[in-house]
Amino acid sequence: MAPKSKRSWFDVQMAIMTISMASVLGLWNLFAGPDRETALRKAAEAQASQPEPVEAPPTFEPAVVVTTAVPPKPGEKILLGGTEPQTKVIIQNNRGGGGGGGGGGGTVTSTRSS
Amino acid sequence: MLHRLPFRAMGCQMLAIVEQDSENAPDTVARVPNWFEGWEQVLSRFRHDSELSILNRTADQFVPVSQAFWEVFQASLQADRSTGGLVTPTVLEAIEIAGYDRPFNELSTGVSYSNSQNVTKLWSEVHPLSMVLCDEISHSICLPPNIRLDFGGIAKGWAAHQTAERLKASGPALMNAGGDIAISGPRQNNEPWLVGISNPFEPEQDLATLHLRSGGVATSGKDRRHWIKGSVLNHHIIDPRTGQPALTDILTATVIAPTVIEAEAAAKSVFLLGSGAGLDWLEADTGLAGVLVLDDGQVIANRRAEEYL
Repeated sequence: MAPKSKRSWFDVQMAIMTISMASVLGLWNLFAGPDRETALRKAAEAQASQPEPVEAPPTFEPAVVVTTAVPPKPGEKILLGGTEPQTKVIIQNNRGGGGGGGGGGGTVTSTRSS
Repeated sequence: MLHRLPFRAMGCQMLAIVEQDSENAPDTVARVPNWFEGWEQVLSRFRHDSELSILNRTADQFVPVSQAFWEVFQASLQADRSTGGLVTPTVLEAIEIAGYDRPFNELSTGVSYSNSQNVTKLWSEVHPLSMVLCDEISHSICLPPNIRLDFGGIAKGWAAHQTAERLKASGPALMNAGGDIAISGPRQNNEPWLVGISNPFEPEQDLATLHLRSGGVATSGKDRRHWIKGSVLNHHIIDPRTGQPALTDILTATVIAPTVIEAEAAAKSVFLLGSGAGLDWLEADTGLAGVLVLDDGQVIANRRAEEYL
C-alpha cells in the first residue's frame, strides 16, 4: 500500500504545480496585457504625430574621401576600397606634424611652390 | 656620378644636375647660370630693359621678339588654351594691384594699393588675350594699350625644359627651376629620379617621394609668395575670373606631366579650381597626375599619382 500512497502524493504535487503555473500565466495576461496595449497605442500616436518624411535630395559620390578614424603612420598610403571615387586620400597629413615621413630618402631635389 | 650646381635666378633657387662620369661634366653644368641670365634678361618684368618690359611699354605697335621670347609666348598661349583661360599671361595688372609690383624680396609694408574694381571689370568683359596680335612670320607681337604680359611660372618651366634638353647631350639631366622640375630621361642605371614633394607645413621635409623617369613636375601654391594687404593675406596666383588672388582650399598643388611646362600650367589650374573641381579636371586628362595639400593639412591625390609614389 505504501507505494500507491506515494504516487498519490506525487499526483497532488503535480496538480498544485500545474495550477500555480496556470495562475501565474493567467494573472500575467490579466495585468500585463493592458499596459502593453497602452504602450503600443502611445507609440502609434507618436508616429502619427510626426511630419511626413521628406525625400532626401540626391547626393553625389564625393570626389575626395577623407578618413580620420585611424591616423596613419607617416608616409603610409590609405587606399579606400571600390572602384569609385576616382580619387583617394594617400596621406592624412596633420598640420605641423604627422607627415614628412614619405620622402627624403634618396631624393635628389624637391618640388615646392615658388 | 651626379654633378650638381645650385644657383639663384629669376628670383628663385635653382638646381642643375647632370649624371656624367667624364671630367667635362662640371664645365657642362657651369654654363647653366649663364643660360638663365640670358633668359631672365629677355623675360623678366622686373628688368626695365628686358624684352618683356619693352614690349609692355609699347602699345598698338608690332614689336619683333627673340626666339626665346617667342617660344615662351607660344607656351603661354598653349597654357591658356589647355586650361580654358585659367592660366593666362595677361594678369600682370591684377598681380600688381594685389601688391606684387616688385621683386618678391623687396616687397614691404609700404606697398601702395589702388582700387581693384577696374581689374574686375576688365575680366568680366572679353578675354584679354584675344586682343593681343601676333605675326608668326616675323615673330612680332602687338599689345593693346590696356594689356601687359607676364609669363610667370611658364617662363620658369620653359627655362627648366630648355636646360634639361641642352644638358641631356652630356648625360641624364634634371633641372629644378624654383620647384619646376624638368627631367631629360632615366638615370644611367635606368633607375628613376627620386624627387620629393616639399611639405608646406614643414618645408625642410618632404611629404612624399616621386619616382620620375622623364617629363616634368611642378608645384603651385600660396604657401611661400604671400603678403599682407591691409588685413588680408594675399598671394601671387591671380584668378583671371575675378582679377583677384585666388580663393581656394588648396595650399599647394603638385602635378606630374609629360613636360614641365604642362605641369606648371596644370598645377596652377588645379590650384585655381580648388580641390574638388581640380581633381576632376586632372582626371579628365590621362597625362596628368596630381598631389594636393589642402589648407587643413589633408594630402590627396588622383589615382594616376600612385604610379609615381
